[in-house]
Amino acid sequence: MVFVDSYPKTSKLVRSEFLVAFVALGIGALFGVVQALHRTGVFRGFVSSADYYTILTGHGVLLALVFTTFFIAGLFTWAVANSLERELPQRIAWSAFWIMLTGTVLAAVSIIGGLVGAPSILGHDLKADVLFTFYAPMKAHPAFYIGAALIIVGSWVAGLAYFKSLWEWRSENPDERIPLQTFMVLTTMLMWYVSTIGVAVEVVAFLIPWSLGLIQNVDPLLTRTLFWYFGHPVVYFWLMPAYLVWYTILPKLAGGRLFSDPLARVVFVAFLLLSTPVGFHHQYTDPGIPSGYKFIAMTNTMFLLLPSLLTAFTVVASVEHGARQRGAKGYLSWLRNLPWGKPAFAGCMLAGLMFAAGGFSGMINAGMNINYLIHNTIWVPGHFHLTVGTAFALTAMAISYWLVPQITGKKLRQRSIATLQPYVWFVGMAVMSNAMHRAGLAGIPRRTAEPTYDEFAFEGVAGTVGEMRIQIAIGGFLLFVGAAMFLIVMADTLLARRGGTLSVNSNIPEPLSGADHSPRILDNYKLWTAIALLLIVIAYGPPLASMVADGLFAPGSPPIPV
Amino acid sequence: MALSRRQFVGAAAGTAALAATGTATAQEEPDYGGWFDDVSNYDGTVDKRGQDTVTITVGAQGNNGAFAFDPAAVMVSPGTEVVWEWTGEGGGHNVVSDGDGPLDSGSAVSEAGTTYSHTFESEGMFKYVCIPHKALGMKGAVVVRPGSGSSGDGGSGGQQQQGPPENPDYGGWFDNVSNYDGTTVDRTDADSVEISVGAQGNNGAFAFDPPAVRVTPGTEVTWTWTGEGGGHNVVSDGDGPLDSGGAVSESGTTYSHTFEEMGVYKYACVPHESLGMKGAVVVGGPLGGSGGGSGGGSEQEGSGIELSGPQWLLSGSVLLAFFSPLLFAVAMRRRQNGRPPQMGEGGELQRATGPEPVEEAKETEPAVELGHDEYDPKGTAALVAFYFVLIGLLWVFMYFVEFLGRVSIIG
Ligand code: HEM
Ligand SMILES: [Cu+2]
Repeated sequence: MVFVDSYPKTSKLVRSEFLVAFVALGIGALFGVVQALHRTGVFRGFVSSADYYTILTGHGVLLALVFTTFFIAGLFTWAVANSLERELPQRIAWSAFWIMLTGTVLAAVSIIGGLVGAPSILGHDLKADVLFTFYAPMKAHPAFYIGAALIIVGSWVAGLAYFKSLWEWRSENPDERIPLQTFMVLTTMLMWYVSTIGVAVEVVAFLIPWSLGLIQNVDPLLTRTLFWYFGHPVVYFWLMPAYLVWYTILPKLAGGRLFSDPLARVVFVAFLLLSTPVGFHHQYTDPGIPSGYKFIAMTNTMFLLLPSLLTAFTVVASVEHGARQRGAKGYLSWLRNLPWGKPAFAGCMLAGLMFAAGGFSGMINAGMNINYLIHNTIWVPGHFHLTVGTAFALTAMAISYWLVPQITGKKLRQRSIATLQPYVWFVGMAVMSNAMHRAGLAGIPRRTAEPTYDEFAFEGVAGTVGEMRIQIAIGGFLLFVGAAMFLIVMADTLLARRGGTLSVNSNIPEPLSGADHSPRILDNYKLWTAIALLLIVIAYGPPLASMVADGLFAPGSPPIPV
Repeated sequence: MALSRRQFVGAAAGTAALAATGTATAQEEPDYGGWFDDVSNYDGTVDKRGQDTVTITVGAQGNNGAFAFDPAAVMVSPGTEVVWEWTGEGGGHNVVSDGDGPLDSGSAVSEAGTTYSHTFESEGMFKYVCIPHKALGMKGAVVVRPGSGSSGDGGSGGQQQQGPPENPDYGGWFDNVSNYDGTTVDRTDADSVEISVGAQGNNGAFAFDPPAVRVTPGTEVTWTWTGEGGGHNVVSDGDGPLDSGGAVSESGTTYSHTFEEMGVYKYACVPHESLGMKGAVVVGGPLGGSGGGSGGGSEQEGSGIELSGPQWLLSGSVLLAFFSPLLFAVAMRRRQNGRPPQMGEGGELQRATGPEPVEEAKETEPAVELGHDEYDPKGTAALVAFYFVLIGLLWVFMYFVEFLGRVSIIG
């Protein structure tokens, strides 16, 4: 039976969550191409340079926070219902959706306010040109911070619905192992609970009172530290859903079976343990943090490479298994025996390939010394467009081609556009990201409307600056086309009539080595959460204590309006 | 959008200074005798003295619609030509003196781009109205009074609210300055600005660099001596705030001054003034739009939104995307309603509202079934090994990339 008929209520929830995600993707991609054309000087007619930050904030928030969170909520909702074989608790799950949606609208409206002259609403200028990292002392309208807080609270409530499903399932199946997909969802959510504490404290205790005028000063270092306490784990919150897809669905799309279920569990537990005590690697250049703690963060970060390398091995091995089951022989020629014409498969594979490239620039970012070479240059956006911008985003789009028919009961439409779409995105991103990396090495800054300076000329190590600009513009444009193609396919599919025989099949075969071979301790959430918290206390306790010791709001800084 | 944001940041950073200068014209605010009591967009008199032509918008936002003159009250020098320009909004407007005065644009017109002008030769106060909308508060006044405008030395006089214009009129000050190329360097983004004294120029080390610089109120400007070209000093032209004392030649000497008030500040090095060693600091401006120089000027700002073609396109697409879920819902509804009854497989008529049957594609059976023990991922091992080698090489390369094709840090 098709998912939509087995779980009609949960299907409706997943559809709603995806719809919000897709709208955010559309607006975000539009802002993305505006930026790419603006900062390269190709076309500056859409916005004035003074409004560049408004667009950049919209892009970062809508894509990195809204698109991701809503898509993940939809994917997790599907994964839990699918693997536990039950409808999700509707009341909790729907309140989560509405809380997140309210937050999104508040945040989006305050950002857009900056484009229409920042009208005064409730005594504060309606604008939020503070970028998706919302660092103090840049200040936004209170509605922006309240919206951000609601998005996070909503995601917590959504997590509750997944846990409640598990408890119900457990009471009926006391002795079984937690199904892999649910295990992955819950491990991710535990990491999310632990790590969002930082940003929740930042927003609720400091930024909201500050933007309302209840407190005059905030300590920028303390709030930045709280942000990055959350800011690194959030990248795993984006990535782990992609891993869920790569581990549990991609092998099937390749025609094979997952190589090892226990290995997958180990990887997710490693993320739960290590994702958070690494945030200082985003603050290598911040004064006021002892370099010893930066060093601990660097070491942890290098350990964190391990689960991703294990993932690379397991996922590729599972895909190879698929090719062999299709009859492939030879050392590497099996790569040709894969369904490259199926958009779901091709998209996931290309996303994984880009992620491997992102792994390289990530290693550079993580090195305490070499980081100085590229810090705050456009290298950094070059890096994370490979990770969240492709490894996550392209996987999300690709798996939609497989999932949306199941949650709607409608055949995928516009098959030829869909087939081409992952390749367009891949080429666009290869062009844009490569040029961004090289431009960053030449010292060109990120977050800049017109990166040109009097009496100073950037010099590329490989290629000329003019050529890099053109590539960023062309790549950005191709990406926009790629996003538009995806949205056309989705719109046409969602509007189509249900019925008939779908092109997808939902059966997920058993892993080659199943969960029975793995130690039961892997499923012991209490233990892992306790260890995760302990590691965080070691990494963050002393530096946070010293920041608070000189006064909660000191050294304070008054707001900078932007 | 009317207000450059960088400018705005700078302006707000010097809020205290602005609060003081924003009302600096208060001591000379003319008495209009209640004329502006019911005019919503009246916000003090805008001093535009020193300009040859001054433009007033007809049909600007205000008085609950497009029923305002902008600026409502303006002060100009004798001999100034004042041009009224129609926005095309708010219906037909005209410009007619209150009582018997010189102004009369004729009957009301609504066409955008219409202009009417009058040159004011004699001093005095000239009140005028738009006859059709007088009752709504569409009233204005031109005050003609001598005095200096934007070119006023040392920040005295006019342009207090807006600061000097984009291309300040230096009145020939830079005519013999060789290193002045006609541009005023914009440093309104900086809290402190440095000017070097004894830079190359004027046939020797007799220049200030940059010679002309624009800063926001509250900015500290520091002059730093290069030690070249003999003894220099920094002294205001006429009576101004700058005076570094006698000429010194020591390299590294500094002199600084924080500029609080808007205006154009000219200065020179007294010993080398005749060689062309002259400079100017422009404080404040150019603030485009409706004179929103006050600290929280966003309300006024809102009225000045003008979008170009591409900007319309952008805002339109964003709005459309924002409401697309609604459009979507409507489209879905319509499709549902328009659905015809269908024949089921067995030939019986299904209820039009019942869900149509769907089924999944058949599971594709593997050509060869490979179990756990028969499978050896040797291709994967090769790929992963290749990746390790590649990433290692790139990493080594990165460490040396700094040294390729450029001067090394240690050399
Ligand atoms: C249509 C495709 C896209 C294009 C053309 C695009 C383009 C850009 C460009 C040029 C920048 C750099 C701006 C600057 O630093 O001055 C940027 C920043 C950014 N992009 Fe994208 N991007 C796209 C898709 C995405 C996606 C899918 C994501 C995440 C899911 C994403 C997340 C971000 C983030 C978080 C930033 C940083 C914002 C900041 O610095 O505050 N982008 N994008
Ligand atoms: Cu990180």
